[in-house]
Amino acid sequence: MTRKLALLLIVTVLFLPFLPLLIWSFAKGWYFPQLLPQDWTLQNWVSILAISSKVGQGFFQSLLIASISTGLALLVGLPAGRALGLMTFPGKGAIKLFLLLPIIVSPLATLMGIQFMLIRLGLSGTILGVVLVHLLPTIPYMTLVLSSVYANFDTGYEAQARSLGASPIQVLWQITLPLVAPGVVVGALFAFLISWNEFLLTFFVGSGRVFTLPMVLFTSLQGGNTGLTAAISITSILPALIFLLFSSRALRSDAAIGGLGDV
Amino acid sequence: MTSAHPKLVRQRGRFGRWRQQLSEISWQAYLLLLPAVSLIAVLFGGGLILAFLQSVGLLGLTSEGSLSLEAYRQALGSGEFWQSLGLSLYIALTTTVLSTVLSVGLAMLLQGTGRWASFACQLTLPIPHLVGIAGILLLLSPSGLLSRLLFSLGWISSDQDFPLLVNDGANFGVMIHFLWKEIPFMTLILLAVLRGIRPEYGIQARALGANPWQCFWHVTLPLMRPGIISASLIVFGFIFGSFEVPFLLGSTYPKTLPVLVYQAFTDVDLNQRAVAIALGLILSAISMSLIACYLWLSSGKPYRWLVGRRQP
Amino acid sequence: MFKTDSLPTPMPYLSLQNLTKTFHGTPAVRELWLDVNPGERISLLGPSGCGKSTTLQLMAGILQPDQGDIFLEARSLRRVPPEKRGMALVLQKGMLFPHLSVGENVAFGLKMRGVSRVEQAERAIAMLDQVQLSGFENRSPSELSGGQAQRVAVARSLVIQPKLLLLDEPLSALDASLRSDMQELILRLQDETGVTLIIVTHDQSEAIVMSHRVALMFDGCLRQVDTPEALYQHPVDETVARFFGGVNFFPAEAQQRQLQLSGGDRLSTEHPQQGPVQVTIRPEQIHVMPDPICGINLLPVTVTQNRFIGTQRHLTLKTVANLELQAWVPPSQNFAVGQAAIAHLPPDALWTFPAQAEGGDCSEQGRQLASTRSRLGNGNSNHQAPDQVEAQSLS
Repeated sequence: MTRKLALLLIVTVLFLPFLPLLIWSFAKGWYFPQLLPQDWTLQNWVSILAISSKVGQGFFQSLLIASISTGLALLVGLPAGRALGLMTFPGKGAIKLFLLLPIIVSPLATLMGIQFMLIRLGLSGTILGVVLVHLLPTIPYMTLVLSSVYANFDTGYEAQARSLGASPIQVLWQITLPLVAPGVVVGALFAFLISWNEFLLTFFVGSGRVFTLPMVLFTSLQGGNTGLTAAISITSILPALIFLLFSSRALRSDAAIGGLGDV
Repeated sequence: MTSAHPKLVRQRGRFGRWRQQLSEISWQAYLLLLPAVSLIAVLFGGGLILAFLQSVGLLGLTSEGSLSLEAYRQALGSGEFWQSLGLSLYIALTTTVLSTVLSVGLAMLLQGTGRWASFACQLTLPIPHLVGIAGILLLLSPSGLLSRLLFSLGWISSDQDFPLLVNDGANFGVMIHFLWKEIPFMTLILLAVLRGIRPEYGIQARALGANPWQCFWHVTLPLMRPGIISASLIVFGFIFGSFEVPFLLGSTYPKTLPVLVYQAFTDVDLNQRAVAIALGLILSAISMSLIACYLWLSSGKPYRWLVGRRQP
Repeated sequence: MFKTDSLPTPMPYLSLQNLTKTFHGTPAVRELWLDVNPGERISLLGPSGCGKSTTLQLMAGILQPDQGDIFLEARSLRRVPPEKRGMALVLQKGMLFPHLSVGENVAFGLKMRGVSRVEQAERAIAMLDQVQLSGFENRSPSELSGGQAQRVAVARSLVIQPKLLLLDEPLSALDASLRSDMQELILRLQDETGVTLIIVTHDQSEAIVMSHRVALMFDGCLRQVDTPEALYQHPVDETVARFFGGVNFFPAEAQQRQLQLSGGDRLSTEHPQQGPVQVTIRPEQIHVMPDPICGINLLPVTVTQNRFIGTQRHLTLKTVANLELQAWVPPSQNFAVGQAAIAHLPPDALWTFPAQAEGGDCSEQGRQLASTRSRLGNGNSNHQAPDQVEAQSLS
């Protein structure tokens, strides 16, 4: 009973910051002493959905950048996760730590170095430049999640399939990938969310020209329109909601959670 | 596996054994890791090197300069830097310690409540920090929801009476935000770790005469340690280098180190850019050495973490 | 196909030659030689970590040997990938692909071989009938019991008509009653298909039931390859004897058929030997009698322990010369502790091997084993022992 109460309390506290956001996004002039707004409006949502709005543009840029960097991280994370999850070799711990460096060491100095190079290459302020930088946090998380997914994968299935006549390629497509798929989905969701939520990296190398949703939100937060900020905030949560929907099923495995990181 | 046949080992010698270690499976592993490692090396390592060259004046946006430590002298010479360092350390250490202790407690409390606990902990996990910041601002500012609630209850008579919790000198807002975001994250990891610990150990300890507290302190906690270490490490590293949270929720003076870096980076005076980079490198160096110290202190045999005996 | 009799030395069906595999400096399999005849059932037996599974994986092509080669139908498998070897593997946990139905699992090998969909289905269903799982084709592997899953695994391997069926501890996860049913099923299927069967196990009773010949491995070396009977009656050394439940060992000086024990007793054996030897006799072959009788190989003993274990009575005996012996007698033969009795050690049950011959270089022994065995086939194992003596004294 105490546990149930504690759980309820935790959920309430965690949900608390969303409450004013929800109210504000529908409020029309909500002044201090009022506990609830006197007038409600859809104005904030209408202006977000307007064609000319920066929000729509930011939404699609975020979507594009997050999709590409997730795809790339998956491409390099799958083999790396396999090596770290299934094999033993000299220097394994050092390599793992090295791959984790970008998420435990402040990226500011690195960013300013990369920014210098991107300017020379003409990639500063381009989507490609931002995607490259987004690989810094996505690759480590992807590798971490996939290595614990692979650590729980039994290579006996592969040996079994080979002995039944499957070539290495057939084994990969018909056995390994289908079997690690649930874990791969978790890893991909993670990478996608990290890229989707990333502000600092985009801020530094986007040069104000790549305007992802977090950039729009940041600008709005510094401006004065609270209702609009609240609506943008809620829009930014959309992928997270999809994630939660998935996670109740896909995150059921401790395998993937074991390799979890911060989003 | 039985021990090596003495004769065979002697024949192979040291070189043979080394070659054995790098047998086919090892090369395969390195090959599989190559894309990820080289991308991180180019982006992270390359970025660091370029940053370093810029900070000592060997590379510049405008001209090829000459070697100079002027940027470091300026960075370390200002009193603001030391204040910022102190503030960053204060925020990161306080929040990490608080999150760790509270998460261990929560994980113990929620252990056995099933998947719903994990699900609850996932509520804030996928939420962008910026959204959290917006929510905290609208909740805790003097005209925020909490203040209105207290007013309507008659506990305060104006927004002036509400304690300052955002952009405050003590940085309560920053820490509340991080606790809100990181406690569920750590609890989630620790719950997964706890599920991996067989309950028989606890039962055995109790059967040997340990009370619940002794059982927790001498059995459960040591078994959770690797999970606690890696989770708190990630949390500390993140908070120490975080920019947008102290920028939007923190005190206006002193600023945290990342905010200081940003300020120098966006200064109209382009010479400040080298200072910004120097500050950034100092920040990286501090976080790396703090992490190294932490690993050293927490494991006793820090290289064991490197060898990777246990998964984080 | 070539004519076997036109070749001077016909290559056996399967031949493992000088196989060696090392993991991180630790040898797992050392210079292993073994020949297998077509249609034979042979088991690789040994304690865990002895290299038997590694040997199987070398055969299946999952691992590559550091040294040596494997020949199947006189063709070297050195560069043949696992999927082209025509061997089917059944692992301990069954390893049914969880994302495929039972039918798709059985048809997997056929699908890989490009067999048409219709034929895949027909053959898979027919195979499932053979393992008494008719109508299971649309179920998910997660709905099966352990025994059913293992039967599907066997079906999946046999449906591709492999040249060799490799079983790696296939029954060790099943409980005892199910295990004997599965053993019967595998034996019946092997009989019907005539497939050559190699089974890895750590369970000596399973090895004995399942195989024509047992290859006993210790520390990566083949120690003895023989019929189950020979392994029981005529082990090559004390380790082998102990593995098969031998408990009585004592030193003696042999002069042909006469054994002079250190305590002064003399025994005669039907297995001639020369010099210092270690003598063994299986506990169930010692007869214990309450009253003196006439004859040879009779030792006066005192009963020092009497343990009733249900089907037998385990007696510990002590001779006048302080030699301790274990004798397993029918439960009806009850003795009081401290009671005097006479132990009869039948001459044909007394087996000897040279003293101090433990753990020599295994290659010499292995090669000798492979060559003599393949010439002699499953035959008379009494001649085996002198060969072994020779092999060991050489090394």
